[in-house]
Amino acid sequence: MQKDFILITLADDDEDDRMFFTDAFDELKINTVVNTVNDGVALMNFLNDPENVLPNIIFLDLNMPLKSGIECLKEIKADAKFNDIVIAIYSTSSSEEDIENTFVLGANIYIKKPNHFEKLKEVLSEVVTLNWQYITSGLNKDNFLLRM
Amino acid sequence: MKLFLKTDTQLLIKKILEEKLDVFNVKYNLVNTNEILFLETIDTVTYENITSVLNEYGFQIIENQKNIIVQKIKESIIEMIFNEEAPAVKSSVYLAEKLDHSYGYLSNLFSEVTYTSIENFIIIQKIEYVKKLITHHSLTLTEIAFKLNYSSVAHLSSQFKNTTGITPSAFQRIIKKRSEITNQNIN
Amino acid sequence: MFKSKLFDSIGFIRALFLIAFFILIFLASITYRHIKELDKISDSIINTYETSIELGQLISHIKDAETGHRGYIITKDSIYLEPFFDARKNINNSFQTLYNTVKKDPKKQERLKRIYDLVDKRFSYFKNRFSSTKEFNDDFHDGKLVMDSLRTEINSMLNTENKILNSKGKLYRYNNSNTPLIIFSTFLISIFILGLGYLRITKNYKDLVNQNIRLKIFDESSKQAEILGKYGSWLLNLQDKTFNYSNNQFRLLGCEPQSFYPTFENLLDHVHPDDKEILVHAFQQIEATENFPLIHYRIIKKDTLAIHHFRTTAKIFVDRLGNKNMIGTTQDITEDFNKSQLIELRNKELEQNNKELTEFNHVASHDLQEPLRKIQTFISRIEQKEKDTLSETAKGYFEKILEASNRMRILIDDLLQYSRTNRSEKTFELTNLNTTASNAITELSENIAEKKAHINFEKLHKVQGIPFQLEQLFINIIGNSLKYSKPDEPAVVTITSKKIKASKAPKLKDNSKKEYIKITFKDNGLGFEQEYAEKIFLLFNRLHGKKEFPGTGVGLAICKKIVENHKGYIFAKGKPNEGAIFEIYLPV
Repeated sequence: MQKDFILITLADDDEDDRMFFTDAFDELKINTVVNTVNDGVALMNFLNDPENVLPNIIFLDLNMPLKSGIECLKEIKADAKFNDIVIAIYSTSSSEEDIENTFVLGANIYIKKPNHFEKLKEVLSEVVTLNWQYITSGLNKDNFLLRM
Repeated sequence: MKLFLKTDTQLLIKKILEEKLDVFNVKYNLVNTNEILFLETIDTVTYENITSVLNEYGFQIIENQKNIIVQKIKESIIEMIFNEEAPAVKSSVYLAEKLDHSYGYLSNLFSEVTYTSIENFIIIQKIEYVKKLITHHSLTLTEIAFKLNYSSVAHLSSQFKNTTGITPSAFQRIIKKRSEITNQNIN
Repeated sequence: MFKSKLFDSIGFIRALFLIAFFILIFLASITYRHIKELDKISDSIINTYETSIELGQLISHIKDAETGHRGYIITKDSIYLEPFFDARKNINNSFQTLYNTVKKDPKKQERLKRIYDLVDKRFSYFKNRFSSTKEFNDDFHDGKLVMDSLRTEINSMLNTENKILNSKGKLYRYNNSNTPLIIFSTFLISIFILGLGYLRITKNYKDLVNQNIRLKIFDESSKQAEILGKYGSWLLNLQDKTFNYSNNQFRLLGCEPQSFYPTFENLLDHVHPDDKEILVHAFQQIEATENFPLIHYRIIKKDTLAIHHFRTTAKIFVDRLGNKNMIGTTQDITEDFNKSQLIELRNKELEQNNKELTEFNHVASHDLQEPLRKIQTFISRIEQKEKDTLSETAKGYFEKILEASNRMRILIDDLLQYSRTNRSEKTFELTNLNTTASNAITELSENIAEKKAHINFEKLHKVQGIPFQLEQLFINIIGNSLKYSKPDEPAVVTITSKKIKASKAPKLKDNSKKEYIKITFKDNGLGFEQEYAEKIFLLFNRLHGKKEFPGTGVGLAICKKIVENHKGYIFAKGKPNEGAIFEIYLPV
């Protein structure tokens, strides 16, 4: 791996989901550093803070108070310094049009929150691996679209 | 105003390497875009500096033999997929021949280093090529299926969907809508 | 058309009378001439007779003279000379008369002169004394000769007169016979023409009477219609700006019929103050453009002081004399207005209700997912982490919990999908069903591969529709066919489409000229009893228990909803063990 670890940030207002997420990565044998934030405003603050290292991948819940996932998505895509970050929408079920819309707005990945812990591990592993492929093989990140 | 570019990556790499290496005042030979032959010994500091400069531009120095082979496997696969004239041979045969190792050995080595299988890598690359053809060349799915030796459009569609989770037509739609938005933002 | 016919009739009648008139004049002039002719002829005949008689008299007188003379000569008695002298007197009289009769004819006058000379000559031979017997004999002989000539002359004159008499007589008889015929036939013709005229007039009169009756009836029914329909009509003479109201127009305003002279000003008096401007503007338009717009305004009824809603429109009408009139109709739409207000209100309420229900459905389904997911995930965590500490029973129970929650999840997913088919924006796009079908197949590719199924479709039409929903429709129906496929036979689904006229599809019960695209899905699965053909589209309705086939009974209900969103129809046909056919009609 290029770096020693992959930096991952999760923005989700649900405590349990945050727990599932971090537990899953703990059990996966990939070198990751995961940090979580509780809502959209916290996320943007985190990203805009020059002291912080930007994550490789952001997992973004859609239904958050204060600032929704869609708003964050738009803000992140609008800022050139976040161009290298892969954005994964991590949400409960949405309609087909809404899912497609997140891709159109610039998301790379859409993950429907699984209802089984093992499945969650599989999904996260797949995401990280594929992302790694993109980085190492110099593939076009703009075409990185994945739906799970 | 829009400018459409076509890039000669080889020339690009060469120029950057030359530009960057010249700074260090060491004698070298660019064997090709993958190989630099230094014609004199380099001390550790310079080596580290060169390494960091090259890293800045995305050049990774392949540390060891294994990595080299894996890199070669990747390159061969990419060449096989992106080369339109290549005859349709089984990838295992092709790679074994090209790299002069047994396919089993290559396969194990690849998985060890990259944590994915060759087959998986091939599929990913193929799908990437499909995406490229869709976005930049506006080919129809039938044309793409033919070009990449899929047995049918349905086969292509299902492999696309299995890999990315969305259908090729959905992908087309998304790319189109994205470009419409960027055009709107420019205007 | 009726007008012109009548008009022509007048012309026709006029012509007839003119012709009859001229014929009568013609007739009169002929008769006049004729009588004059006859007059002339009879004059001529009388003349001839007179002449003949006088000539006869003449000869008689001359013979008297001769006889007298001869008597005297024989007897020498002067008593015989009396007729002689009388005769001479008479002869002169006769000549006098004759001269009158032949006055006009120079030839006759000549002849008469000759006769007069001859008579004179004869009388010259009436001597009383003769010197010798020879002189006497010569005298007598000459006298006889003169007498002969005289007789001849007189005879020829008589002949002439006879001839004249004959010819004139013939002429007279000819005229006499022709004249009555001509007169009579001309008389008949004019009688005939007059008769025609009479018939025509009578007919026109009858027509007019009928028209009049009809107009009266029409007028009466119009009055009643006005009362029933709550409208009134008015006439505005654009030349002198005077109004004419129908009886009901007065009643609409709350006044007695014909109780005042209607003018624009007193019309405005009835209008609601806020709406006066509308009328003023509309009537101004008449001045400018000769057009009256359809206007809606309120009036305050004079008798009840209630506010009523009126609708008025009018049209220009130019009569035959070139006068411009405006014929207008005013309707009291207060009832309708109030009703439609009510309906609008109710509609809004219903729409609001519907929206709320849909939102509720959506939110409920959506929000139910999350706790369910937690349940399932935590259970899976327990199963995993506490694998070793859990008893077999506990594990079994957790299995059941997971199964139940899975079913719940599927149900929520389906309900969510159902609510979504209502919520989406109804923007229609031209959709190629071939693309829709291939997308659906790709979505179901795992399932298809698993069941080793074949989905065939070809040359499907393009329709106006919501692409996502149409895709869902295809997915649900094909999915359904896959689910209920025969276990030992790979599923085959065939999709076809064709354009069809509404009239050719009796199921639709639509007789309009609309055209539909009919999409047919045929499978070779387990089929169903035809009696359930309509039930299967009901929400939560299932034909099998959940143990036999998984499912929530929502899938086909979603299909029906989608088809309804597109204003189409869906039907199912099935035979147990012979597969099912789904027919979808979408309007072109």
